[in-house]
Amino acid sequence: MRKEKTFIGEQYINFLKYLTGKKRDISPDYRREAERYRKVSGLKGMDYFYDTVASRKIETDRPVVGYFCNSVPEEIIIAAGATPLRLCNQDMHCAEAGEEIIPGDICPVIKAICGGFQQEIKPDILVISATCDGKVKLAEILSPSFPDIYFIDIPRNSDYVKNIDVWEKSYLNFYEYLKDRFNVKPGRKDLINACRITNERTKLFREIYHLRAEKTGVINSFDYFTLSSASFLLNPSDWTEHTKVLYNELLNRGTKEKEYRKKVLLSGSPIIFPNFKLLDIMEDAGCYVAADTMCSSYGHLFDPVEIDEETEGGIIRTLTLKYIAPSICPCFLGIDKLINAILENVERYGLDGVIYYNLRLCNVFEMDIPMLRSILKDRGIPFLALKTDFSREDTGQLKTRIEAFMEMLG
Amino acid sequence: MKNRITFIRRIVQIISLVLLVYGGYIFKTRLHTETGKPLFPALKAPEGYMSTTKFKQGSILWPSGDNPVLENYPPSLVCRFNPKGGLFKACIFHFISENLTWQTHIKYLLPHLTLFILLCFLFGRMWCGWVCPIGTVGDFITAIRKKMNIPARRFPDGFKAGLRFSSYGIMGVGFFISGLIGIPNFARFQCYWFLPYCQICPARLICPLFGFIKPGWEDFETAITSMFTILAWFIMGIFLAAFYFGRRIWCHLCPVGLINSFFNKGAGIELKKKAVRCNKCGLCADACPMGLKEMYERNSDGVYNQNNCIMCMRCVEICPKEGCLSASFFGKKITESKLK
Amino acid sequence: MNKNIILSVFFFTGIFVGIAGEKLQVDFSYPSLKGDFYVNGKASFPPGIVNSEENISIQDKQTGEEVPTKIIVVERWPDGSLLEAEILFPANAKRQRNYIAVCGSDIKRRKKFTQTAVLPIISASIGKTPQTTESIDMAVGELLVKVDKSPDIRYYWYALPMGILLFLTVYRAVRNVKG
Repeated sequence: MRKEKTFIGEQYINFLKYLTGKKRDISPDYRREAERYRKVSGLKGMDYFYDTVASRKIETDRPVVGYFCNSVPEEIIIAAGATPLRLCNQDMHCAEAGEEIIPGDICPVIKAICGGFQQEIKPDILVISATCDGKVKLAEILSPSFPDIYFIDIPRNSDYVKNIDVWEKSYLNFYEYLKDRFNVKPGRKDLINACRITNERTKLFREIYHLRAEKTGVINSFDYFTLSSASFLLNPSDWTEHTKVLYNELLNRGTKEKEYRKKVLLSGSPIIFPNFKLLDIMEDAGCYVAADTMCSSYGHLFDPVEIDEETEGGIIRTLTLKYIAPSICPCFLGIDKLINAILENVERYGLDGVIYYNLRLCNVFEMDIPMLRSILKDRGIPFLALKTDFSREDTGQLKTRIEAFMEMLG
Repeated sequence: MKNRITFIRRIVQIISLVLLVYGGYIFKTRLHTETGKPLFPALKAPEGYMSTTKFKQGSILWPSGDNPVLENYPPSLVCRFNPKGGLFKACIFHFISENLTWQTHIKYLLPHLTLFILLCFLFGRMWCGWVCPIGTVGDFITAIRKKMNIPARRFPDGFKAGLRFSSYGIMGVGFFISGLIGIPNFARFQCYWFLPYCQICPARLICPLFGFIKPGWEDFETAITSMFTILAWFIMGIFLAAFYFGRRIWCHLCPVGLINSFFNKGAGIELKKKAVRCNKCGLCADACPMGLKEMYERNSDGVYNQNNCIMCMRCVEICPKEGCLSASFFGKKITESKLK
Repeated sequence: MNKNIILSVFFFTGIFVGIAGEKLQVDFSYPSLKGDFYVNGKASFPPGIVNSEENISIQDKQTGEEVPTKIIVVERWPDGSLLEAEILFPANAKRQRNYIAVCGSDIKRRKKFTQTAVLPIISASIGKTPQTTESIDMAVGELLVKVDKSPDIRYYWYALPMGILLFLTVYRAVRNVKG
């Protein structure tokens, strides 16, 4: 990804320097938001996670590997002796900063990621996978200022039979790259160990996921999405350690069925702290998010690595079966996974309806709506599709639509 | 425990191996009595006909000179060439070839066939995955490969279909030769063609080794035995390579497995899929030692017993979605997938 | 074989050169259902007696009728006369018969038997082959053949459970495939 400097205009380089170099303190905003939700939550175990998302700092003496998308294998990064850091960002202010370089009609998440480089977190390596077009091009835009950008090529078809060999090859290449870059020689024991760490996290997350769906109101959606947003910044082992405390607290907590009118499944674009606008409205309307299929929580934490053969190649092969094959990202061909996930959750937990939300200007998420609507209509499951962005201008309109939907559910 | 089913399977495999191979040592007397009307008639070669017991020590079909404990034929590769005769007489392929040659009356075969069909009906090809001693030996070879940190070699579907086709070929040729040499006064004295598949089967070479008996691996007495000896070496090489590089790719070729596979779809053991819980991760297809993909590809609920499935239940074990895959016995659930 | 199911009924007396042999018991494991079977015996001859297999004939002792036989030459003496021949002829267990084998250059076999063996073959090989031309040590004589009078008809009953199992397998397979 290295570009010859001569091809790039002086002005552009200066701008990138300005963008990545200038430190813009957004922590007061974050802290304010975190405090607001912390008051609502009333869970002691959540304090750590609110602190994490508010400070947005990582403390590590290892090299940091930043990535955007779910299809970048954390286990390989951990095994190579680095710390994975997911840079996905949904902050309004970051998006505004990103708009200076990225044109207007582009997904706000891309802008926010770009603007997010103004913050303190500076990864040593940036890993980008070929999921959505915006992120692919973002890699190219950022390449002059980042010396190390690794690009994982993934075919668009997420069918195991067709593409498993290609995935395996691109992951193996990534593994070799990290080995060269950090000059380490991880063996299969390191890989197995890394898989064990993330599997513990997955196991705990699933427990919370089921608990949330079965005991209405045990954890509100702010806490839940903060928990998943914190997993972007935290070491898997740290996350597990602190979530265990939280889980024990949740087990002893009673349900709050009276506070909520209906249980719904939330699907669609990711929700990351501090973009909790939709959740605010839903909580106000008494709508409990009992399950979700977001790539920031469900997609990020739900699938485990199941090692079939404990060989280096075998582990890397099964990693693709955690990250790519079951991916519910609409960038991939294979909406059946999303449909299965929604139907399973609705059937299993007896949910009342499905709310699908997509960020404005993300076309692929919007393309899924007609098919989902028809399938859910056949099964008699109420469905509401919403379209919004980070700004708080359309709050009133969204509120009306969600309240009407709640009335329809009865 | 993480790999609970595989752990149980390994124990069953080792117990089966010890029982089947060392059965002749463990049960010193023959359990199959000849008093009264036996449930299973002992099948012997008619006078003047060839039989394995007539082969000299060191020749290609010398069956260690002992009788088995039970003169039955279970649907697994239990070899005639076990030390001390083993627990069971032989595999079904041996049974059919031998009696085609001897032209035994069908009524004496019916009891044995009924037992075979009953066992197949109950467990399908589970006999391949859980009992077959050769499969156990092969799994041990696979374990060595895993220890050496060499990833498994995957084979395309067309190659596996080709192996199955070859398996039909082996079965056809084996039975044809066996039938041909059974015609009285036609090729009756061609004893070197007796049990043609057994002569090249790797089990004939491996099983005697368990009792530290030298198998007939270098019989160059006649042109025919020389041919069979060299063919046996060749097949043995394929066997070792198949188990070393590809996990159970050999079992696509095994003609005994082919006969068992006819019963697989209607067997008592059922592998079920609940499609709505599937997240299409492909782990079931990836972990399958036979490399079968149907369980992954199907998008509706149902029982998916595939012809080549050896019912090792690795897919059920590895599936990370609660209740997506399950194994049941005549509708009664034994185990189902969950996150370990 | 078990005593219960064995009845010794059949005697095959072969008198070839007048030397009486000892009584031999032949064990066989295929009792037939209807009682029809083939008798398969090997007979040895001194040199110069029989020149061709056409010169051997098997006759029913009571009626004197010739029985259709199949005779295969196994070995010959150096002078070309028969040393050993394999004789195969059909017999029945219900009718107790004694059979005589007649041989010599003046005997001509008329009834031939060419059918391939479909019934159980009762082996009746007797004695030893003469070792030298000087001393003939042959044991030919009475042959005791045991035939099952109560045929193993019960084994046919196994077809019933087998059929049921096959039907169930096919039924379940079709049901599973259809879903």
